[in-house]
Amino acid sequence: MKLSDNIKNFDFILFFTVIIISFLGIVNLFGSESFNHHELLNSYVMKQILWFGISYFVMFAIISIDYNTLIDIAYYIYGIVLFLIIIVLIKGKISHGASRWISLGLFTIQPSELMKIALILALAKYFTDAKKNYYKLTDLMIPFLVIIIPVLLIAKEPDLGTSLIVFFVGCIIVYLAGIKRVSMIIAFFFAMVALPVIWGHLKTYQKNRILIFLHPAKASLGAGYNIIQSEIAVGAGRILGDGFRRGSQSILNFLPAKQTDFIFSTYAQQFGFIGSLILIGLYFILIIRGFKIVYNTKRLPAFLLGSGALFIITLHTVINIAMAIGLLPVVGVPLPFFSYGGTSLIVDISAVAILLNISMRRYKYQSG
Amino acid sequence: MSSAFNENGILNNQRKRLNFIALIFSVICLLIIARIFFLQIINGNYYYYLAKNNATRIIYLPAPRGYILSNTGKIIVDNESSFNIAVTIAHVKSLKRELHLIASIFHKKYSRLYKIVKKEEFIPDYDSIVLIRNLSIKNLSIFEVNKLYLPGFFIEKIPIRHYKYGDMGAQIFGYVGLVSSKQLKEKKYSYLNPSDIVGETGLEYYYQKYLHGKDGEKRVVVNSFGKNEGKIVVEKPKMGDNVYTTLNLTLEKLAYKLMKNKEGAVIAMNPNNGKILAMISTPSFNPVYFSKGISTKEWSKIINNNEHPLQNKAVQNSMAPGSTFKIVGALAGLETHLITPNKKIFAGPTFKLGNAVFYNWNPNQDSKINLYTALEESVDTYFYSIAVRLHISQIAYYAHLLGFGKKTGIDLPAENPGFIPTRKLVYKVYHRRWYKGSTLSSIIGQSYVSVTPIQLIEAYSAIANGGYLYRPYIVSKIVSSSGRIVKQVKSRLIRRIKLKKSYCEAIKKGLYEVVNGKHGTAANGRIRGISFCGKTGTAQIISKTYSIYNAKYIPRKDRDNAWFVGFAPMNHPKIAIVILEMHAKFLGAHAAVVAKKIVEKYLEQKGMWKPSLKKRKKNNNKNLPSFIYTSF
Repeated sequence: MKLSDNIKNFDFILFFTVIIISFLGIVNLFGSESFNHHELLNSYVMKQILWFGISYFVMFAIISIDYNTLIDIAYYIYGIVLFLIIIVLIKGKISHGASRWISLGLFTIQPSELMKIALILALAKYFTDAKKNYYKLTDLMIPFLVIIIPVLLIAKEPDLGTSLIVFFVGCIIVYLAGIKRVSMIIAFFFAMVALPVIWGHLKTYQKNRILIFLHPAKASLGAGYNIIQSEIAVGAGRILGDGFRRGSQSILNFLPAKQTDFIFSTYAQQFGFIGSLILIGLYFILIIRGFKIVYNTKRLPAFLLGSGALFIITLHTVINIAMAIGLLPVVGVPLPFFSYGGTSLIVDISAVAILLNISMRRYKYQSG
Repeated sequence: MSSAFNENGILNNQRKRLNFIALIFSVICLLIIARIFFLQIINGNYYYYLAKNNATRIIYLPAPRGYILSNTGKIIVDNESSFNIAVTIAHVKSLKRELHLIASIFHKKYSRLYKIVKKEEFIPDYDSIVLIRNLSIKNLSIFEVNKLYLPGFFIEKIPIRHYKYGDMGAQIFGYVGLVSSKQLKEKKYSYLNPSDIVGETGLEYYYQKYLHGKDGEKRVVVNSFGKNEGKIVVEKPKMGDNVYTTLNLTLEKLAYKLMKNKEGAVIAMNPNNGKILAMISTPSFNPVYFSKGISTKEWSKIINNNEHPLQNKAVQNSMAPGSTFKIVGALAGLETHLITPNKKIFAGPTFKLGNAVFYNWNPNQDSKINLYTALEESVDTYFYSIAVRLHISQIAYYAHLLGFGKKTGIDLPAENPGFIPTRKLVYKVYHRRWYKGSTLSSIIGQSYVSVTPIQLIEAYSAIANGGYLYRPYIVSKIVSSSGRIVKQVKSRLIRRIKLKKSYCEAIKKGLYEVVNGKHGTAANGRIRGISFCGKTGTAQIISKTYSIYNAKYIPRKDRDNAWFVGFAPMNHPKIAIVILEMHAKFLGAHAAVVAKKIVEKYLEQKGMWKPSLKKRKKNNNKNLPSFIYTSF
């Protein structure tokens, strides 16, 4: 297998879609804030550009390694990330505050985000090694633990959004790997039973968000403020948008978390319905390309790993946008390549890198 | 290449499942587009209108800070109200005319007021701008009279910090100030709003998290659809937690009274648990200047004072301990069996080491003496003859055992760890070689040795109570405004120093002689009926010995630092005390008098001591004319 073959098999459409979305993301971040040229160097935009630099470096690093090698060392990666999460928890306990970050001097990383990638690698390895057609509940004890331990730890941080994504991605891989229908029903039943217990463990603000979502009429200015402001921002964009850097909701700080959770609202007010359709279209292309890669793969590890990567991106996109327009309760989930945040950017880029990696080597394992 | 999974049939099943999930997501995707269509196209104009008239303003309501209280719950620091004149531009009829009126009745320059308003041009119209701070009561009533002509202007009442005892212990309680933009960026201050005040030093800083409370929010919705319907949502501020200190107000006041005009520090501590009974540092400043907004003149006066009023000398300043350090030498000598308490050693007026000559402070010293006398009369040459047979690391070992050279961990910011020299450390820090002579100076608390008052009192307490080294602490509990105990602080034993009981008793006896012996250096600290133990110390600032120490002839900055550390009573100590007088007019003996007065007061409070009959009589007859008194 030569380098030229790799380049020939490289999925340029997927790659350039990501580049275009990233570019739009930077533009949008620039339009989210009012600042003069003195503050530019210190702004979110500059930091995010720096993060893009780092994450594209990570991307090429991942592409250059055969994904099978990644799967081979999956358990080590999983172990290291789990260890980092525990460190964050202990550190948080000592400083008596919510702590999701580990400081690396210049940057801080968020190990719970990295868990998304670590988990799909670990599950892909487990199911590749297990080689079964269908799994009973008893066969799934280990994958269950592999999923639920980080989910609980991350929820404890507390980072409900990340915890949910990890859980959903894990469930999707288990489902794809093959679970007996009876087992699935039993598992679903148990999940239903567990729901009230989980509800009891939620923080008050988390409960409020869900209650507000279920009863929008009751939403007072206090707790429902975020979602109302977000809907106003999206709606105010109308067809063509208010224009670049003219999104009053974000510029005047009505919009909370305008660079992260509600970044889509920031975008929608500036660029309107047309802009939103273009952006959603771009994500659609991205996801369809990813889907095609996964669908065409002929090997189980590639299939599972690829779908994991695909659904990280898909879930991020769908949940973030749905939340911003009031279709889902508010949970902290980033919009891929759009939301400000270094670690989540690296995770999404890594997911793309895994897809590119699989598509690039699709012929390598065919003739075996 | 063999692949683990080549049976296409199985992958086909999996593809089916993938299709199923893809279908679900496609449906969600359609829902999203439909929802965006609904928001932006169908209801777009409605939301556009809302956004353009979005008049939701968040106004932060600062939470009153928690109080700082004494051990018996007496308030030391609380809040009082300050009145500002503020303006809401949206309600003003004619800004120019009204500003002119304000300027004329409060004797301010119109141009300055106008500048303040213009500077805040970018804030939304419904936010208020503070024009004049700290109105006097007189100006307050003037404003009320003219209120009719000033629509849009109003009085804003805000809590500011009130320090009941002013200068007393200002460095311990600390001061507060408006949060800076730099602090706002720090993670630990993430709960602060730009208009909040924040503890800058002392307890205000150390317990900021508890004292601050939770700010409230006022969300004002000015417009609704078509109608002008004012709607206000208020989240009430929650007052900060009250911090109960271990300080005994009577002692604190007395200590400050005694030290007011000097430069130095006093700490009184319960030697059996590390509770700080009193702590002051002088000269002091009035922290209220900081909460009211300090003037440049006041600030430069404080900052340019070379006696450093802002520094808490009790914990932030380390210096040579002088002879008070001799307990370390005594302990080292005893533990290494170089001396026994009763063995007499010759101590002359000088001690020769090679070509160097080390002097005793008292040139008349020339006899064989035991440890008790050595401590009583603070004989340097006795300790030189111990030091000459010790390695500096041995002295450092015993110093470290007693807690020197390390932060005590007291709950006050910026504690100084002091410095206990070893060969390695001196090379690392000062890039100097170690000479044996320095070992000799070290044992009498000179050369590189540097300690803080809090370390000294900690060490002496450990000697007093038989070897229990306690962490000193100043806050005993934190109670929320609703009365719930948020934090209960217990005394913490740092370590049990394994001292031979007889050695400990010997050192204590020596310290007893210092105060109560015939030639004791702190003889004027004697307390009738109480076995007061202690040690004086004189730390030279410049290496020059004066035949007669007369402050008149020595420039102030070159004067010696005077120490006294002690505890009482000898056997079941109730109080430990340290006095530091920097650049003192009189030396350790005088510091002992200050200590004596504080100890007396405390023991009197505890019912262990009574002022003499004569004194009591004098007090009783204080108000009588003097001729009656003399006729007794």
